[in-house]
Amino acid sequence: MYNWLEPELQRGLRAVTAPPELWDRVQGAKAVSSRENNRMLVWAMAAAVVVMAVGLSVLHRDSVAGTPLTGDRCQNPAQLRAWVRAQTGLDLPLRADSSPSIRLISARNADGRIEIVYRAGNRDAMLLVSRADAGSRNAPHNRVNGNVSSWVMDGQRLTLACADPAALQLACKLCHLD
Amino acid sequence: MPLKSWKDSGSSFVQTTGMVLNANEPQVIEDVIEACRSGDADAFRALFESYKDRVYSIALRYSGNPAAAMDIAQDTFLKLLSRIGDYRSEASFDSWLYRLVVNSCIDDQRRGRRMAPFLDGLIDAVCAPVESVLHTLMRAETEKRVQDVVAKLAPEHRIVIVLRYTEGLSYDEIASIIGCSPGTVASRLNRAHKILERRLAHLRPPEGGSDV
Repeated sequence: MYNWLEPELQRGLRAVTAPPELWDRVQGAKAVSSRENNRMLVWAMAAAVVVMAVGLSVLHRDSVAGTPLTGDRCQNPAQLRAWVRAQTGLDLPLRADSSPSIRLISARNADGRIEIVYRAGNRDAMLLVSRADAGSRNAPHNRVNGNVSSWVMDGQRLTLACADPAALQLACKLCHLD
Repeated sequence: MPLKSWKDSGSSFVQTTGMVLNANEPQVIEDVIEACRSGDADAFRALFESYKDRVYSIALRYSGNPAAAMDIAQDTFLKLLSRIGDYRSEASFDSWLYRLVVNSCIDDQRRGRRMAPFLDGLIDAVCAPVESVLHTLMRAETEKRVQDVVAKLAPEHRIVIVLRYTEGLSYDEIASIIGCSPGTVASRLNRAHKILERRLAHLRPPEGGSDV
């Protein structure tokens, strides 16, 4: 059917010999490609280092900030006091010889505000400690309502909350003598 | 098999111009491919020497442009180097490589390269001995015309024509390379033949006539 066409196609499209310079082209492109790959690798490694650094800093921040302090370290008032100082620079006058009615549960740093959760007798209590506004004077305990009392002392604002108004006095034993 | 042993397999690949693999020795090719995967530069050179003419021929006949053909061939061998790890020995290496060439041809076309006239044949003709210059020029002109018309075919028609007439591949082989059925290859070839027959009608010898 294509008797005349096929020989023309075979002649016109016959295979040819590749130019000798093709090898040099391939070698040159290979070297460029390799350099580009190396550059990509360097960039990828740099990016990985940055990501790791950011990740570690986030982890570190979480470990020193958002993560609650629990267990034995929290239950030891001296260690808890040192932890609060390390976290915020605030010195919380916790009693070293804690009252038997006080049992520390956990503590955490929420953006510079320390939250200490504990049990006062058989009631839940929480003490919030943060740096007072600049120039704030000491202010006596102010009972905001039956459950909550707030005061300023030595540049620190403290707020004490207790589940039972009757136990609020007991909750004060976190820092005060019986 | 130790990595270097393929180099010691004697006449199967050694020629004066370099290392050329004998396609009839599949074990040697497999060994070279394995060595190439391991980064053996000599193995890559052996593959290059063995396949460069086929790769370049397809690229040239598809693009109709020597500069484009060099780019396509270069791209194909770089792909070969970077993807040799993907090659699975249950398939034919030739088919795998042809697929790389075909993809490089299509990629090159997508980059929107303008097909330049193919003048090599004419240049060769002018350099031929004086007594045959006229005949050679006519022959070269005819070939150039064929190449120009093929270069204007739609890509799906052009690639089957090139694989068929440049490489002499069967319908089944072409189908395997471009990923379609042999029936589709036959259909595309038939369609391409019809287009070429119409566009190259002036080359058709007169009915009952003979060469002068």
